[in-house]
Amino acid sequence: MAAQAPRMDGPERDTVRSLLAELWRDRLQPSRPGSGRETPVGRLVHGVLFVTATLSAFVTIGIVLVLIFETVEFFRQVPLIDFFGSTKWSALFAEKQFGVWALVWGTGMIALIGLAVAIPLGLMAAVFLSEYAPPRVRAVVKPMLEVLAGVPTVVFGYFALLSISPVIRDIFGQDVGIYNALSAGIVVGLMIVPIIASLSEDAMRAVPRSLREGAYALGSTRMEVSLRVVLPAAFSGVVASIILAFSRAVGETMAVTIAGGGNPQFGVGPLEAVQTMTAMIVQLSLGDTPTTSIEFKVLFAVAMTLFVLTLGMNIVAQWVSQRFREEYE
Amino acid sequence: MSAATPSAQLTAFAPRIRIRRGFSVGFMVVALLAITVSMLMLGALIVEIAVDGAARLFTDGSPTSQEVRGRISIDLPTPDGMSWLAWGLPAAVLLPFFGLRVVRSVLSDHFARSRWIERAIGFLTTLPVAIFVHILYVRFESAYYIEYAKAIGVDDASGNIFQLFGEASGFQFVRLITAGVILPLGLLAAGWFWSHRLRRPSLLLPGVAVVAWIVYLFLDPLFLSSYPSRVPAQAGLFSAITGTLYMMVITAAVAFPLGVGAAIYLEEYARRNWFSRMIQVNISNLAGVPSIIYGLLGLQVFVRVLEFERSVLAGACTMALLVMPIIVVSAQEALRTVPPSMREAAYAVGATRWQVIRFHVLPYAFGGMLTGNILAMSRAIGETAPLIAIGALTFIAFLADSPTDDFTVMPIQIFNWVQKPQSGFHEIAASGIIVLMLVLLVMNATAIIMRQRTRTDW
Repeated sequence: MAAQAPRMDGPERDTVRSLLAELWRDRLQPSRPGSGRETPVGRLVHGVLFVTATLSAFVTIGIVLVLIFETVEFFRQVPLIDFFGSTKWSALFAEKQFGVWALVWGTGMIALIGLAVAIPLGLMAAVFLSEYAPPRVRAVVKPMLEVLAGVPTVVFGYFALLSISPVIRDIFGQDVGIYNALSAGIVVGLMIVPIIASLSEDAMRAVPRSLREGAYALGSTRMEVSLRVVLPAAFSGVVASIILAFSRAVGETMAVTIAGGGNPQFGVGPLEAVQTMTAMIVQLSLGDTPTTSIEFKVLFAVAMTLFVLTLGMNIVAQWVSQRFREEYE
Repeated sequence: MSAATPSAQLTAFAPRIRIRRGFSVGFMVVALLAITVSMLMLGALIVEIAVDGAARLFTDGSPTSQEVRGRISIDLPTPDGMSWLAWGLPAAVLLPFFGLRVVRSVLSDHFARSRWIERAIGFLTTLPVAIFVHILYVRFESAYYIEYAKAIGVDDASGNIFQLFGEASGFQFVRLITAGVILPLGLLAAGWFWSHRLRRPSLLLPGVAVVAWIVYLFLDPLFLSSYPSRVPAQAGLFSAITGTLYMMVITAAVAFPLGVGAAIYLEEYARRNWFSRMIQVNISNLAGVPSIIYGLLGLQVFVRVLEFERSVLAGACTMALLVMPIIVVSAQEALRTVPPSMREAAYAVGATRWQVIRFHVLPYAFGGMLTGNILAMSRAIGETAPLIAIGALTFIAFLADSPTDDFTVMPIQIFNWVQKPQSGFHEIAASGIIVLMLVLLVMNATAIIMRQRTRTDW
């Protein structure tokens, strides 16, 4: 018979325990800065890494400060009501008007056209990838979507201007301009398909198998399971992905600059040239604008509007995905 | 089969389970259609650009292109007898190694191989890549030096590398050495460790290098080595390519340490308190800020306050801030894949926290971090808006010598060409897009391969 290890009990056992606990607490425990075993080099590294981590906070602070500083300067010269209460924009003319709604109109229209293209394509792709696709197909399609997401936006701009725009002119007649909101909107839509597809797919795959199996056991078809069980269960994630995609479409710059034309006007239709907030920033940056001029300052006021809009949408997306998440076990 | 096997008995009792088809098939067709449509759009984009761009990118020997070639002041050396001998011969010797490599990778399980043979083969397969880089740089540089030679009064400068070495002086000499010798050697050193780092040595990179080399031989050197011009047929991507290279090197040098450092802090050091949560939320929000706003940040902070002017350095710093969230998030994911048991085992034998990170966590997470870095760089290569905001120029007829020079990058050059009304510029824009997409393709392929090869299943 093998010799048994001596059993410790009573006070002896407690002593060993407390000794071990003390050893862990004072010498070994890795998760307590300063109290674990650390050499001077280790402490130095810790400090350096801490600084790099806080840098990201300073980036945010930097962005906000830079934007606020020039925006305040701008509103000293132009009253708020002229900026938010007008729909006329003519920053480069002698008689300057700064009605931001003209730019918001262009931005909103292109982003909405983009969503109209991207939501069906993206959701279909997501449902297909998560519910229908065999693993091998999925392994091929998903990286391809990533490639689509990695194409530079200048390339999409070229595509919109020289490939889509001529087609639109063939369909709607040659009096449609070569620069129009529709072609820009379509490529923006293509650009945000991967965001909707991959984020929605992640949300759908997170739905537990048991829900699907339950539905199948009740005799549902695969489509019923996809559309009536999985999609509602993953609804918060899907909505969050759409909001994020919308925010990306609003912030998208080069394609809309190239294909959208430079016509900041409130109330024009999708077949006419428009100008988005981002395109306006590019236009003003390309010219040599003196840093003391009002055109330079309005750039930051528009950027501030853009920043608040996209940040707001990102926060809403996070809130939606957490607040309306269906919790399973 | 006889009914005696257990599984047959089971299926005999169990009701046949089948998923009802219904509209399912039709729906699947629609979904497939949706994917096909988006892929077709991507395909159309590629074909459209390829057709437009090929005209300028490849020499067709047509009278116009000959004529243009004659008119251009920089007469680039096509590979002459000497350079064929210098680079063709080693390549001819090396190509059989690729054959050997194919055979080996097929049979690899049956080889009992030594680590040194492994390394030697890794070394040799990277050699063509190194040669490729060398030629590319020397040909770029030679265009620069011919001009330089002309400027100082040497008329018969032919771009011969040996002559250039003779005439170069000071900083130029250092640059020539860096471009022509150190970079290829660095690549070789990388290849040295390539094959024993990977569990399954990859054929793809040497393959890509060979393809790139072949494409290079057919490329019109004028497009890649000419400065922008008012005449489409004479315009080239030279300053844009070198500008991109300069900027990428500095961006990576700034962003990688910062991003990885932040990730290590958040994963390995930070306690779960309000501070680390705030940093985390902040990073995910930064990833959603439109890139043009980073441009305005760079304009105010780097260009105006720190007075970098509209230089490579300012552009690179702006770009580094832009891609930092991507690097942080991917590095965090890489760190999370290292199981806690690794750390605990190291702590148990008395390692300090930094020793644990340095010798046990980082080596395993490094592949993933590098992958994230490459992906971030490929994002940075394609970004245009922030650089326009900080005022990078589009017409640069010289090379950036130091980080404080003006510069341009490939997407800005393309943007500039697309915006011009003449269709000749649209064609060279397409050519530029081909070059840009090829670079991105190589980078993304490298990242994907590295992700697959360096992944360890615990």
